[in-house]
Amino acid sequence: MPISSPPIETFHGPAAGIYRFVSNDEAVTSSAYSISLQTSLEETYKSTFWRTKERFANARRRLSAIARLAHGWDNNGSEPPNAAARDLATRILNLLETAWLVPTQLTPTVEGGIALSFVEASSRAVIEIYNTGEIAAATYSDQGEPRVWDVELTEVPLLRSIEQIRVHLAA
Amino acid sequence: MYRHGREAVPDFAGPELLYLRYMSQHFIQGQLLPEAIRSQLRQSVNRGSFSEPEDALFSETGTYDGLGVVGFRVADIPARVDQPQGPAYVFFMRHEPEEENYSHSEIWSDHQTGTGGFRPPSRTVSLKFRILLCRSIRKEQVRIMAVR
Repeated sequence: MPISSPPIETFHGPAAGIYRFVSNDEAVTSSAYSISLQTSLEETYKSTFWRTKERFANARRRLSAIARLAHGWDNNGSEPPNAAARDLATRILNLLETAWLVPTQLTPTVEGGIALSFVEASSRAVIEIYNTGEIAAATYSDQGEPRVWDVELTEVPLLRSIEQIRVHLAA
Repeated sequence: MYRHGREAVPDFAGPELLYLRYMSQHFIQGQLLPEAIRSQLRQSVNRGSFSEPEDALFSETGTYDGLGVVGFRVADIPARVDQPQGPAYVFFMRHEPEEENYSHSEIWSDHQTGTGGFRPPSRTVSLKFRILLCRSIRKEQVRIMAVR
């Protein structure tokens, strides 16, 4: 059955629309609002949440940069962190982000691997990930005996180690 | 700096200074990080009795340009590190002169029983050793500031 349709030339725009009367609403366009909005956005992005997110993003960027290191990167014959160490570091960074504990520094180690260092005043901690796939962690301060332990690669021991570090840094 | 046929001097006095190169990324909030020191391999240092801090950066090809130098005492090296399971390790200095660097020395480790050779420590002993040593290496011990 033939269907009748209007010629194309008759389509000039939508048959219906929602139109808003535009005027100079000073609540939106005034310089006072503009300053207030800018301050509000700056405060938002200075918040602990966004700063923490940014620090984790920086740590991941450092991890990517570390992947490009060559043998002897320290001018002393050290091996660069290998794929196994980098994968473990990525996994630990994800767990740290879940636990909301930001490393102060992420660096290649001269022994071959990656270290995640934490500094809070005189309290320090480190998670060392070796190219062999082993992990060791430690908490220490200016005084007293450092506490050092091997970390198993499963999630529970990793989370337990992260918690021990958090408690030490907060003490 | 050159050896010129000189013999090694095996004795190290506690107050003698040792010079160690470091990278800026390994010095955080006034203290050297343990990841800047090696113990699975023998850590190289220069003896203060036979060299100046600048000598630790000497290279005809500029290899060490921009690195820093810290100075610490022989007595700052932990002499012994225990572990709950496994043998204790002892740490000591060895003068290992090179033709172009007479002051070159190494930090060695061995089982407490003493095999007479180099025995790399376990991971946890290594980390504990490096932490204890780094506690002695603060900004006051920086002789040349690292810029890379």
